[in-house]
Amino acid sequence: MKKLLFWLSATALIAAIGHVATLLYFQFNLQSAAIEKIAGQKPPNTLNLLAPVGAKSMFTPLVSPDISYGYCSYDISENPLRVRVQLPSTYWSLAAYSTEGKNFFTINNQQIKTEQLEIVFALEQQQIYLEEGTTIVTPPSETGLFLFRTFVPNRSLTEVVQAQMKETSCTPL
Amino acid sequence: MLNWIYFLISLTLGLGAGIYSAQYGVRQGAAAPAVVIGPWQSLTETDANELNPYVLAHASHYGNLKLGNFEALYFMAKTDGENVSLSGNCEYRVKGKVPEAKWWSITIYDQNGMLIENQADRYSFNATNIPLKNKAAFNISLAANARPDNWIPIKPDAPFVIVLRLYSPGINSIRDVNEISFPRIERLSCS
Repeated sequence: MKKLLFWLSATALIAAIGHVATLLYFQFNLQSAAIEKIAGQKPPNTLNLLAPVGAKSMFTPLVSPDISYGYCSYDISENPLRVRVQLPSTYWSLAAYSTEGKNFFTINNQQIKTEQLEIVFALEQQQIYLEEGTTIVTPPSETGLFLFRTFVPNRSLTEVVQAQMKETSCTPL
Repeated sequence: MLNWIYFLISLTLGLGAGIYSAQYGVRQGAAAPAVVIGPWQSLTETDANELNPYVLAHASHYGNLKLGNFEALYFMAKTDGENVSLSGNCEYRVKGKVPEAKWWSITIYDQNGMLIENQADRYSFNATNIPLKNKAAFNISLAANARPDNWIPIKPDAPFVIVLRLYSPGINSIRDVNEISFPRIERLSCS
C-alpha cells in the first residue's frame, strides 16, 4: 500500500512539473501564430494586401468577410518606419500588434478627419533623429505587425476598396 | 528492476498528464469568458485575464489579432436562446435592434472559426447591407436552404457559431456590456 502511494505521489509530482514546464515553454515562446502566419510570407517593412476574405481565403480563423485587410510586418531594429495611409471615406482602423499579438496602438476614422495619415514607428533611442511634429508610436518590441482594416460596405465593392488601400505605404526612414 | 519499471510508468503517465493538462488549459484559455449574456459570450480579454498565464498563452497561440475594447467589442454565440447548441439541421431567426455602434456585423462560422462555404458567397450581414425595419430593427434567417429574407446559409449536420462585432461601440456599451441590446436567437424548426 505504501509503495502504491509512493508511486502515485511521484506520478502526481512529475505531472505537476510537466504542467509547469509546458506552461513556461508557452510563456517564453509567446509568438503570435497569426502574425507568424501572415508576416512569414513577405519581407518586413512592405505593405501587402490580403486577398478578400471568403471561405477559401482566410488568413486566420474568425476574420471578418466585411473587411479588407492590408498589413505590414515591421522590423525597426535598424531604422524607424514611416506609415502613410490614404484614408478611405468609410470605416477604417490602423492597429499595431507586438510579436506576441498584443494590440498596443489603434487609430480609426473617428479620430482622424484628414485625407492622409502619417505615423512613424520608432524605438525611443531613434526618436531624437525625427523631425519635430512627427506623430511617433513607440512599439514594445522591435518587430511586430500593423494591420490596416477597411470596411467593405458590399462585397461587390471589394476591388474599389483594395485599390484605395494600395495607396498605403510603410517605408523605413 | 521492478522499481525501474514503476519509475518509467510513473514518468510516462506523469509527464503525459502534465503536458496534456497544460496544453488543454492554454487551448481553452483556462478562464471563463469575461461576460456571458444569454447565449452571447464576450471574446474580449479583460485586464484581470491579462495576468493569467493560460490566457496570455492562449491569446498568443490562438488569438486572432483583435482590437481593444474602445475600438471593437466581439461576442460569440454557440447556442440559441434556449441554450441548445446551434446546429446546421435547424433553422433560426436572429432578430434585434440596431446596436449602438458606428458599424457592426453578424457573421456565421463553423466551430473552428472558418467561414462556411456556400454558393451564394454569403457569410454575414453588416450595418450597411442589411435591410432594416423602420430603420431600427433587423431579422436574419439562418438555414441550410435558401430563404426569401436576409438569409445566411449554414451547413447541414454541422454545428456553427454566430459572431457579433461592434466597431466604435457607444460609451455605454464599453462601460457595461449589459447595456447592449443583444440580438435574440430563435430556433424555428429542425429536421
